[in-house]
Amino acid sequence: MVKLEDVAAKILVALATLFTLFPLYWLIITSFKTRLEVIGGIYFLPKSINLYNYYRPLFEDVYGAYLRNSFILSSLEILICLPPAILAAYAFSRLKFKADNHFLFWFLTNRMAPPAAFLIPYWTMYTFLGLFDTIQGLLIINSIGNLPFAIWVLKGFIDAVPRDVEEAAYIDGYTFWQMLRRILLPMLKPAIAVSALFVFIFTWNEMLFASLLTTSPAAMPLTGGLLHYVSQIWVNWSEIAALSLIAMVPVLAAIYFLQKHIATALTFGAVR
Amino acid sequence: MGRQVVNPWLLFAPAFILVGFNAFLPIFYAAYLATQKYTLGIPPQFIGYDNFFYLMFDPVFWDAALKGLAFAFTCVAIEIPLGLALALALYKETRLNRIIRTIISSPLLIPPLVVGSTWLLLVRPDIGPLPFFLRFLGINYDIGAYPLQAFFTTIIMDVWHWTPFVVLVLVAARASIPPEPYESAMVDGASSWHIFRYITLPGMKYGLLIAFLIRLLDAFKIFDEVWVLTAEGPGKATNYLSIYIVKTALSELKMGYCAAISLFFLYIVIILTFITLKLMMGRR
Repeated sequence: MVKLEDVAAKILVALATLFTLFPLYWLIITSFKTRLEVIGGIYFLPKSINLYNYYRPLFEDVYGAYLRNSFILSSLEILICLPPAILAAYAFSRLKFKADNHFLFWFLTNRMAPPAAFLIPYWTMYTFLGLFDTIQGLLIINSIGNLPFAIWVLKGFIDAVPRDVEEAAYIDGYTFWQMLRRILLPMLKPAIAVSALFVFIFTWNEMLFASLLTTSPAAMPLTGGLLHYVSQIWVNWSEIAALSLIAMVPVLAAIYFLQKHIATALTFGAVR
Repeated sequence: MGRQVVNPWLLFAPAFILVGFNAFLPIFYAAYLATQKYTLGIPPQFIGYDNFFYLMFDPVFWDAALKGLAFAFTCVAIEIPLGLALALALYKETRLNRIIRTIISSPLLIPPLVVGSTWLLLVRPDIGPLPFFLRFLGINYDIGAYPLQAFFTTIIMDVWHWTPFVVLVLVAARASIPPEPYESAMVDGASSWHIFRYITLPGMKYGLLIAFLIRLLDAFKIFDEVWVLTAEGPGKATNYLSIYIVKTALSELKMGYCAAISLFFLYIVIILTFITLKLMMGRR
């Protein structure tokens, strides 16, 4: 028996999949077209696979440097955010201290605050502090959202670890730091990997500060460079498509692994 | 576990110092700037609360705030029902459903800037397929010229970008409803509408609430995609609050006034966040 609503559901899912894929498909084929093909009309397949759109920006222009900066920035961001986040997440999960819930709230409000609202003070402050146009500057500012994020996600995972495990370690005479290193961290490995990947991707994706607090190829990440390219008057759209795809690489590499955790990450652990 | 094995403040301090440096310093500095008449290049001058006074009667600011709200509510009004329908179609753990869920969640993690540039390729009047096809239908589609079209294009872009998030949250919510009520409803011969209305919907209330609040907040703060797609135009049609702040700083160079808007915007969002978290925690 075929029910009407099942058919409707299948059609809806098919349409949604097409709707999701079409812009990405268009992006991919545009990245292979020549400049004239793009301007010349609407073609659903490129005339040939033209990789020069990838080659020129990376190797004959400065976008290779931007890409390198993005990698350095996002990797270092993991190192800056995760150690403090693990400690704080443990404190929030296991220990009682004064106003702990208020602090937890406060961390999350920083994550939720609109980045644009912080732009002006940073813009003027960073010049004074000598952090303007440096990777260090971007590292610090990116931690405002990523550190609270990591705390919340890791807290959720630590909450799920049974306390008996720790108790047993203490009875065996472990100090806190020994317990952390030998018992808790190994158990949290998957959680740490997931938070690290998300921190990497969020930092990689960040555009506002990347484009306004850096100016030179020595510090500007790919998102900043790409924005400046798009804002130019006369642009090569196929190169923009190619660079957009390059900017999606970390996500495409991680999406299958992260798929189960996206809902948890984007709702701060409210949905598991 | 009554005993404290380690001083919690010690564990908490590094994170607090890093985030605190990031959060407090700029806010105090913004509070200082907001009391100044400061156009970049001209020395600042103390004017007290005049910036805030001006803000209260600035039609462009209120226009931006209302447009931002209109944008956020329209997005949510489309994304929640659509996401709910898709979640109910996709929640079963079959191989195909998992693959489709992975495919449709791909927009979630790509850089918002790339969402903007992807849509720019689709909708630009000179190179995009969308204006090309709409011309066949006799519709003149140009987001650089028609404010309403630009507004709705940003909404469709947001639907493309964020509906998968609603789907994922609601799939989790649907999967957490136990099967027993459905079994007894089947025995009683309840119609599928009644099952949806009296079992599924109440069971997913919490998931719907979270999806609603988080989407509303995020849509209200939108910047990257719209900045790339339309900036503020045409004719300030997509001048949402984040965009207005950046424009005030970059093109008008009014730092003092911009700081005042930033603080005001920050307060609105913090209040909304607080309500969101209270409701989310209340259920935990």
